[in-house]
Amino acid sequence: MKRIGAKKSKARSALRYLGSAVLTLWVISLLVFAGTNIRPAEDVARQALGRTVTEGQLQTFIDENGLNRPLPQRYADWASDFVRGDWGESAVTGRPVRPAIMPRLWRSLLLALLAALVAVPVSVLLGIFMARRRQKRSDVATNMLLAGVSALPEFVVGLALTTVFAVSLGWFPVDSTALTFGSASDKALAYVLPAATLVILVVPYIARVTRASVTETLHASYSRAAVLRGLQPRLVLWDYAVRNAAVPILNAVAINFIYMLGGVIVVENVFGFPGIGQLLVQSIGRADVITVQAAAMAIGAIVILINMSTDGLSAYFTPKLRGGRS
Amino acid sequence: MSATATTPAAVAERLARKRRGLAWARTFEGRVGLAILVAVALLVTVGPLFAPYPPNEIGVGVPLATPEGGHLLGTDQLGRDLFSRYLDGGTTIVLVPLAANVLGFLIGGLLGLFGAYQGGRTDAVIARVFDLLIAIPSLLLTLVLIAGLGTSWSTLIFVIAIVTAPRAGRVIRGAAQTVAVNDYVVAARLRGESVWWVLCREILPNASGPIVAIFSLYLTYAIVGVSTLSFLGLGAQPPSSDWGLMVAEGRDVLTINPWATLVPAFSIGLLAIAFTLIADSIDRRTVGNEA
Repeated sequence: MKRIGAKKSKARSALRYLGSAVLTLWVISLLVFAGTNIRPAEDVARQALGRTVTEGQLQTFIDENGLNRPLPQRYADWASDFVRGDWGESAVTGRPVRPAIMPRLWRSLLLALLAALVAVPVSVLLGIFMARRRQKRSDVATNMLLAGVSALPEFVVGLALTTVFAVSLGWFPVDSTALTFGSASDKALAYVLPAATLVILVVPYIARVTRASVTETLHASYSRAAVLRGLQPRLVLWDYAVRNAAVPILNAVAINFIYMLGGVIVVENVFGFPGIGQLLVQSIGRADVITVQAAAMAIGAIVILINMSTDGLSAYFTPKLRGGRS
Repeated sequence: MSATATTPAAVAERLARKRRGLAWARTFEGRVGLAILVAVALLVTVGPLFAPYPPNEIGVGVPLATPEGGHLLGTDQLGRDLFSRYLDGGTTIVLVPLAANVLGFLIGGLLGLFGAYQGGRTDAVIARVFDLLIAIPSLLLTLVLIAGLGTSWSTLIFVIAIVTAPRAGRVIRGAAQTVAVNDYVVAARLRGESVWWVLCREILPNASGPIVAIFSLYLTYAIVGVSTLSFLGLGAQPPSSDWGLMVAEGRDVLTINPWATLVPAFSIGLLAIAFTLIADSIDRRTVGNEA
């Protein structure tokens, strides 16, 4: 496991990953800020306070929230407070945003993680199965089924699962509101359908990437040579084909984990799951600018963290970037 | 080059190219996709003529009637006939994503083509901007823009186009790059043809295979995106009978009348599946990279 020669280039590439991560986060912050501050202050105030407010109330709201200051100054204040951990107070609920976001963020991450723990082994095994049976009827049929499923919107899958497993069979709760007040077993049950929805949505992509890359490595010269040397097919498959297909599969997993953080937004709204995505959508509906900003930034930051760790992991799995043979 | 070649060899070659262009329609996937697409297109165009009631007329039936009561899909809380609303509501789910995709491909495609043609620093800057925008999850970007711009069909088209543009641009740039190094492109530049001419007459036709496939695929994403926004209450607004909105409104009475939700939901799903299957079969036929 020694990595001697690659040390210098590794440090440099780590720095580059970090640099591009910071840059992306900065762009996200600009977009989030611009997106939430495009509208005139009066509109924002009116939407937050309701239709029947007086001019005076509007003016007080604008003054209190500093909505009449120049944009660059507002961005600078918001961004510097944000990185110091002061995420502001919601103008709608009047409570600080951070304590409202954090428990929801953990629930959403747990949901995505649970889904990934099920989806990754299932989809990788399915992909390997398809690669071995390539162009046979079971492969073609599975492939088409997966293509179809991958096209479905999250809410269609979620509602189909609800109708079957919650409404008809009654095995699981129709929504996940139990998470805020239910007992431990209610809470556990509340995760099942949302997680299952996410699993169904990410399996096709990872399975198809696995199928393509394992097919490729199975036909590579080193695998064929291994077969000719008389190695067991099982050994060739796992030690030669699958191991060399690890990087694209890993990338597919990472892409899907990021995708899941977006999918979580919809799935949470299908199931009334009290996570960060539900908060984001609700806050947009209520024109709660401060909460929208904080929730969007939190999701953005996590996406970038995952991006960085995948880059690091795939560098680790690519022998060219390692010093020697492990 | 502008005159069409009429020698037998040239005609045969053109026909062969055309056949290759449509070869996807003969694959199994392609046929299934096309069949669904034709069915949905018929439903959307001719369907409204067969609506038994005006889609927005309140109280044509008892509120919240189930399908047994003479209304094929039942009625909603306001006593509107859900089957009529379903027949009426398919237009937006086809037209809005299509408009957004065309706009997104125009913006992204022009930038990508230009970058691939110019090369050097221009290209590097364009590629970097694409990568930065792609790094942001599309739904997050969509929601943030909607939060700022509000909800109307025009902003929806604009927002989805902005999300699509860098992704389309990257693919088009990649496809154009492989074409741009060919001798005939170099020859055209040396002849002194304009940038526009070389892009439209030499590069674009020869890079069209992957572009068509990706257009179909992104149409799926746009359909999913638009219907999801409507479902979340951030797209189509009441009293629209848009399918995504119908799903959201029916969700509240899922236990009483699941059909009100499931029929529009699966119609959206079918439409998305159709474009994905078509994209898949085009990809397989024209790129021929099926490993």
